[in-house]
Amino acid sequence: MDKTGFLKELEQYLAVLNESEQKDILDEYAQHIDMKMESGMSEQEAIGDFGNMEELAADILEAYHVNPMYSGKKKTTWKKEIPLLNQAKEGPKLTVKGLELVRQLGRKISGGVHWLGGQIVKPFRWMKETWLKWQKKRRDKKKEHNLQVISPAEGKKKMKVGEIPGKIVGGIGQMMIAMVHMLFWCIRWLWNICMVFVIVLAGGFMLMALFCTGTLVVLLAQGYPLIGFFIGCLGVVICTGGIAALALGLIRRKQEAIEHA
Amino acid sequence: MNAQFKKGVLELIVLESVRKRDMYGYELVVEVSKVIDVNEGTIYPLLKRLTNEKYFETYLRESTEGPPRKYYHLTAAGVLYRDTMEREWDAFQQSVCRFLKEQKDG
Repeated sequence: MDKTGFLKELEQYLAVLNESEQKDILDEYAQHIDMKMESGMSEQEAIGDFGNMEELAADILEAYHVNPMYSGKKKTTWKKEIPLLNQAKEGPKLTVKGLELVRQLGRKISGGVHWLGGQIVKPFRWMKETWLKWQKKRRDKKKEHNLQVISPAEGKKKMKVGEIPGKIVGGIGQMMIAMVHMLFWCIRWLWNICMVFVIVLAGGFMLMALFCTGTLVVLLAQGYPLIGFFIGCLGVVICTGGIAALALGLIRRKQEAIEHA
Repeated sequence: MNAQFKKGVLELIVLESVRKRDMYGYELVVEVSKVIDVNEGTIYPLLKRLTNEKYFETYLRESTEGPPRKYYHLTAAGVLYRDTMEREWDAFQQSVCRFLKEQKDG
């Protein structure tokens, strides 16, 4: 094998590396062969000193942390199809980036699901909390009552005539407040149900329109005169999407409801 | 000689050779070949790797004959790396020697 043949073969083995690196290495080997020849060796001897071509290529690729198994001899296809492998060091980095993106997406989706679950559970939780509060209040009252029973004399002393109507009024007031709370909660819940309904409806329409748009694109590509329908469909997609987004924005959350109350 | 022996110690020899003065590829190969008999082709990948790992810097310098040559220069990180390798080699070599001696005596 002569020098050009050797370099060409080596180049094929190194096809996974990027152009400048390849050139760098090949230049070094070319210079090495030249110098050996200058020192009185024949071309064949100089090349023979490198030993087995495959092992040499494997050694070079190892220095780039590339698995020699990747270095198929199919130079052109490798290069065009897998640009990732061109930069041996960039490969893992990109994979890591991709993984990170997927992980973030997963986190966002799980966050969304969590939020949705929270929205669904919220009214129940609120009911439970109110129930517990109410029970606690009752218990406290009972305790007070018991205390008064234990020391009736003191209780009687404290209990003045005016207190009884006052207590009744207070109770009614509390009940009214609770009712107002309940009303607000009902309104909010109904509103949210409406909004969810709108979202589902609009979202469904949007998906259907999207599907139609896709079909129309295919038909358009085949030469049917359907451009008008296509634009119409696109309009429907945008409209329904906008409505769904608006409804999503209009869902009342608890913080806002508290401000209302 | 066992190829694995050579492979392990080649890095240290290359680093040490470049420490005193900057060298170009072929010069370095000749220098290393004086110490151990090694396939010349395998030194270039090593140089490449050490350069990628920032232990070497390279620069081109014109030569009176032929194309410009790429010189290798040992960086500060390279010097540190060489020192660590030397220490490791000393410890390794001593413990192996001690072991062999003990076996012989014992």
